[in-house]
Amino acid sequence: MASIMLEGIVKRFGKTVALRGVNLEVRDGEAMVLLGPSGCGKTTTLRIVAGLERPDEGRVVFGGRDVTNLPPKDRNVAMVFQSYALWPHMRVFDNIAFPLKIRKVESSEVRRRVRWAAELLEIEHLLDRYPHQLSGGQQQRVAVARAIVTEPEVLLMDEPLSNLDAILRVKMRSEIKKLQRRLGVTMVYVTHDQVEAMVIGDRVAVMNYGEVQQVGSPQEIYNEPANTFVATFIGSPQMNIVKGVISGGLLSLLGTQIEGVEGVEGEVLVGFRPERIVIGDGDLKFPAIVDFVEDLGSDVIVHLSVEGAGELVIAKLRGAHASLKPGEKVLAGVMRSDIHIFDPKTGRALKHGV
Amino acid sequence: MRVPSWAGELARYAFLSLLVAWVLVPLAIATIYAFTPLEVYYSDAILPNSLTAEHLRTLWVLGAGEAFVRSVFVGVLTVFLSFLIGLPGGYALSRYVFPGRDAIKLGIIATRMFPIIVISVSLLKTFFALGLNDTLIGLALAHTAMALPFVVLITGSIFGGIPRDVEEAGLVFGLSSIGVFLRVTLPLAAPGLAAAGLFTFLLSWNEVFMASVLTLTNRTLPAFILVSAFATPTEPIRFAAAFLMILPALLFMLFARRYLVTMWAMAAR
Amino acid sequence: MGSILYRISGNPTAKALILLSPTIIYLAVFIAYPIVDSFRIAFMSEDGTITLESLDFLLSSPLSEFWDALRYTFLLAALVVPVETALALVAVIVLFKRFRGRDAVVYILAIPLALSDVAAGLIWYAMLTGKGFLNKLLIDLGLIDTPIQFFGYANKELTLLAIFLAEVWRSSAIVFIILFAGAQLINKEVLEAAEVFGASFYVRLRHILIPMLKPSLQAALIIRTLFAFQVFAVVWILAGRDIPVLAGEAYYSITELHRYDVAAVYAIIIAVISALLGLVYIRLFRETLRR
Repeated sequence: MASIMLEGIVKRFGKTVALRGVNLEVRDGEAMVLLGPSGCGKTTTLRIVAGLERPDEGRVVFGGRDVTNLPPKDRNVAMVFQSYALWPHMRVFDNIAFPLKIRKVESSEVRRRVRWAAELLEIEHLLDRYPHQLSGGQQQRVAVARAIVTEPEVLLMDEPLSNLDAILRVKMRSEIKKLQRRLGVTMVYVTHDQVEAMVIGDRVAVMNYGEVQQVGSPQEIYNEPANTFVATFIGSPQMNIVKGVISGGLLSLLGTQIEGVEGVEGEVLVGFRPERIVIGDGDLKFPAIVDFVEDLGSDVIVHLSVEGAGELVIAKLRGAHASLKPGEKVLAGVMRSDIHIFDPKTGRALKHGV
Repeated sequence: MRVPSWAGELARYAFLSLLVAWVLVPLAIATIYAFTPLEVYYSDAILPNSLTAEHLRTLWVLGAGEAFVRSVFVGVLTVFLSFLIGLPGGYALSRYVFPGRDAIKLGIIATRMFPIIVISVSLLKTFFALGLNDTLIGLALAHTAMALPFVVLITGSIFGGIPRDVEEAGLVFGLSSIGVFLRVTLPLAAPGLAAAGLFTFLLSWNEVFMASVLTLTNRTLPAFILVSAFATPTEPIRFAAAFLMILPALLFMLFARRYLVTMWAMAAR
Repeated sequence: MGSILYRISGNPTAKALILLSPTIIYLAVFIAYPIVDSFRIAFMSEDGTITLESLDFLLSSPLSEFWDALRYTFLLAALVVPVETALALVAVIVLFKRFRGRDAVVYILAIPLALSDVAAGLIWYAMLTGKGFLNKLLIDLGLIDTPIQFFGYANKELTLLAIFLAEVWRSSAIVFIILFAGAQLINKEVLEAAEVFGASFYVRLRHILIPMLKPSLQAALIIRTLFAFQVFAVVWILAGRDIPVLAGEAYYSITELHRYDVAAVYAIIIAVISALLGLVYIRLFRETLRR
């Protein structure tokens, strides 16, 4: 097993800059998820770890060993591709066995290891088939089996669940998590699905514009987003961000005020999550009119317009509030601890909880 | 008034039968006449009631056997040379995006429009100077020039049909670039490459102009037929020669059936 | 060492050029140079001075059939290409819908593509000669008493007809295959949609199928026209020099006259015609590339 260090990775494709100085440490045995919208550089980062792309600048270090200039085969990595990339001309057994055969593992040992991996992924009965004879979910399991059979130092996964249907995806993501725990392998997992990221990642690196925006545990990312991008990218519906002004510890926003906000002065952006809004309670209360109600059964998404302030706020409330009608006046509230303050120019978080 | 659908169907099958007959009847007639005894051929009987291999034997005595073997040799050498030279280029065109790629591709396509006649005069003089005239190697070199653009473009499209990440999986799981090419790419491309190889063989096998002007004593089959076999007054012997020419083409049709439409549409471009 | 190779592998341009260089060099030596060299052979005498003697021979020698060759080459192209294009188009339309045995029909129609022009010439000789299939059949049916003579200097029109038939027979296949491959790419739903909206067969054909086949039609036409100017063995076998064509004259200049300079002029003429057609084709190809 090995830790992974990425130091100042820059990657350009022609004129476009895919990565603008990525720094990231993945600890030994950790599951690190790279999360971000498409085009954010997460897959490029993964491919650089694999050695499939070469960085223009920066270093890739595996457990103290500089592998920047090593081809993939000398890195002891394994990968599950988005398309699975099973070799169509080989049976399932040979697909799983091939990485071992390349390493010249003795044939009885090959059989033992293939059986071990196949049992782990419950695909023993498929070993004689060709990839095109398998369903998407089965192909996915074969791809994972092939990736773990060599007991690699580093296991890489590039959106491995994106081609599965919703039910299978939920099942597989917890299986992958369990598998990673059990093997204790260092894993880098790329996804654009935040729920997947939260379930699988010990830590999550949120990426955008070819940079790592924040690295942290799912709780840290959710509770203490480093900037407005992370704040709005994580959570659904996305965090409300409204304009506010702080003057002498007095924060004014949404036509109301709250005292005792220390350490920041001037214009700010104020964020609070829809699911943290309560009706008729909270440290910060503001009157609003119900615009629109989306009844999801367990929850209700309520669109509120704040009088005078010209701001729209979205609240995620308990199902009990489904009786709210458009045009109805409510008093919405948020707790102090749920309020985030951001710098309006840089978007950087200044305070979590006021 | 609507034409009843059965009438449309009937018209379609009638037309298709005519088309099929138009292609097959001349082929069958030439083949049958190649095996028709002379006295029957020169009678008024349309079709023979017995067949003979005597024309083929006569042709053999005239030198068709050696010519056949030479044609096979030149064809195989052409396939070998054009794949040796062109395969890496086809791979590069299918796998790498680089400045000038389209220009190079267009340049290769452009060379395809010049028939072998255009290069034959100059090559003939050069080969005289180098002592390559009347040699099978010289002819194979010329045929390679003719086949190379086709080989580059067709192998490019065959490799292009193999997903990139299947190769990348090979890299990640421990193969070198060359290892990936040999153990992943090549096995996947093999059926297509085999069909392309057969087609390249046919290009050489069928080429007559260069073969006739370049070789004198070492004539390949089409050159032999054009110059020698056609000089014989006995007509069925000529048809036997046609039969010899047709044979590998029909075998090719049988083997490459699956790739026929895609490959030939490509070959034509 | 491994890391040096890996560094090169990071540069796709370098790698691509290394892999393409054998092809580029070979084509330069064996196609580009000979084309340029043809001009030297055609217009330069032994002592290195420019001469137009070859051109003079071509235009005014009694041994030269240049104008007839040019005329017949164009005439054959003008006769053969439209007829076989129409024939292939009809075949593609009839074969557009899947039915039992369609694949077999497609294979059979494609057979002539694998055959050499030498074989095609001989096959039609077997069909049309005095003791050939057609004459025997017509006599047997009592339609004629003496065989129709297709060949010989006195029967130029019928010889031309024989060449026409053999060429259409041989090369319709290439047009057919290009069009058929193009038709395979057409989304069947587009036609079905038109059918749903009540378009008649003719309207579907005229306004949907044929316009969508246009790129393939253009490609097929250009390629066939290119090949038509190379016509050689079919003519040589069926007519010898009774019907002279450009490539045949080049062949005759080399093998009988040993006038390489004259042959080079023919080569240049064919190359120029090919290049002009090729330019048209490359423009079309660029457009499809862009799309």
